Amino acid sequence: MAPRSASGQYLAMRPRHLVVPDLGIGIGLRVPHYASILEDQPELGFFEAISENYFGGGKPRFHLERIAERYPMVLHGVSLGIGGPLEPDLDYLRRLKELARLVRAPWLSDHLCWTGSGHVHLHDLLPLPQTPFVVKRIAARARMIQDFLELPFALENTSSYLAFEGSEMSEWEFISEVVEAADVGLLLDVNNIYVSAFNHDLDALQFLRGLPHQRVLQIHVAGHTHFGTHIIDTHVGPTPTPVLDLYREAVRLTGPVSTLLEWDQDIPELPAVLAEAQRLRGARA
Amino acid sequence: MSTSTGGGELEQVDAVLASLTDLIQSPLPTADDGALAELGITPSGRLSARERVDIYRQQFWLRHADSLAEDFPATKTLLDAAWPDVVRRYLSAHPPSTRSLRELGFRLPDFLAALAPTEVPALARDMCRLECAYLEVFDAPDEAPLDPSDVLGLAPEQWLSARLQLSGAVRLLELEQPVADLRRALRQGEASEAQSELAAAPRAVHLVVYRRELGVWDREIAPEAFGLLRCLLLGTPLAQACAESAAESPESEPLLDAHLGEWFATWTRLGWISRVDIP
Repeated sequence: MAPRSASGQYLAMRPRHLVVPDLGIGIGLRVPHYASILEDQPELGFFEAISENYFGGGKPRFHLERIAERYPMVLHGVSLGIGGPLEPDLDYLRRLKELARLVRAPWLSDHLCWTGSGHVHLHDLLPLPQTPFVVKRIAARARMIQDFLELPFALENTSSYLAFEGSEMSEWEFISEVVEAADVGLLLDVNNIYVSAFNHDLDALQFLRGLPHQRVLQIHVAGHTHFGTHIIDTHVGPTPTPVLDLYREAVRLTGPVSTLLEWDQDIPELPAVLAEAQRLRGARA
Repeated sequence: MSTSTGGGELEQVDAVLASLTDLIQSPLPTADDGALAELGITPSGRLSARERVDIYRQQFWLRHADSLAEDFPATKTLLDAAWPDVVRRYLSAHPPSTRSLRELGFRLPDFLAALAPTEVPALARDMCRLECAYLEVFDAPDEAPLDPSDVLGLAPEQWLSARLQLSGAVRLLELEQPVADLRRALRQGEASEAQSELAAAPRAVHLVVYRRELGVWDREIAPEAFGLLRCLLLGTPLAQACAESAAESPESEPLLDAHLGEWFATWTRLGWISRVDIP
């Protein structure tokens, strides 16, 4: 597929219910940075909190609320498992909705994956067979979730280390069909595209260009660990150059979209994360 | 609520996901090529199907073992070389089933309690219970503590039937040894001295683990105060709780008479009591 042109042309094509503000560059809200954020009040567009970490009270909830008073806060889930055997858990969704109201989240997101079977939760984001039946199942659930939450809802493309011979479409076709059929947003993770492209011998640019850019509500950028035979999505920083290049192309295709830096392994002091966020700001310009 | 479509084909997909779940949480890599073939996992240009599944399996064990080590550092230190095997057996007996990793080890105290004392010494069992209480209290739902002015006007007869509700961020622990001090020593790298002191003079303790002003604390209390708190935790009305606690030993009643007011004031100040219900 030839590259589509004209940065931002897709913003005008975005469905009205998925119109969200461009918050600029943000970083993931992580425990080691709580105090520095409140003390230093760094210049940042937004924070993204892992929803499940803030369902309780105490120190996590205290800091979430204080930081959400000063910055836009988006919520990102890791346990929905929307493609798994079980239907979405309404109690979980109610708690998520309450949390979103508390921090005035402009949108919510989780992953296009499954996370376990039966009562087992693997705490991983696993790939699905890419078939029309799976598309239909996930799309129906995603649509219901977005209606229930009464906020724009986005699904993130995950990185993966295995694939199924029963898949009947490419991963970008699978993602596109799900979000189009569900009429939900896409959280575009460019590092996950890079990782999966290497692991499955795909063309990362073709993957990126094949996605529905008008539905991209947010972009994730992160680092990874290369093992020679495969790449693991470790979220270790700083962002490798090929991922940064992919990000530049993503921005060219989507226009200005809120972009989040994820740094989850060997998390450095806040200034180092902010310096990396500054690199993204430069790449986005 | 059901949003499923495509019955038979989705059942097949779910069967594949269930089999894959079993392979991923297996302690050892699968040697069954037939099972892999049935799942329809494809090889990549560099890895076989078995190696690709094994990436997830290894990640599963690393992630959950790391999580338990982070949540139970003192228990891990006390179990020393036995820790990896205990973790493997625990995760096999109790596969992760909750959304949050924070709850992964909530069944570890009971699991250790069921193992032979030769495998898990009493010190490690007590430490595990303490560390689990710390985890539970850390982000228990927020509750406003009792405002003393709310109960100032209660008549004496109202107190008799009052039920004192303990905060959800309070745990009561009856331990064979004062492991909270050992935990602090371990955190400060002074474990060997503290362990020697414990071995020389073991003693049972009654401990309250609680959250106050975002911090998690522990406080040793008198057995009589502990007995009373335990009754209150079970929802026993105050007068009955006092009577039951007083009946536990001849020394209890005078202690309760002498200290009840002081205990109540302390418990209120520390946020252990969230409200007083009058029927």
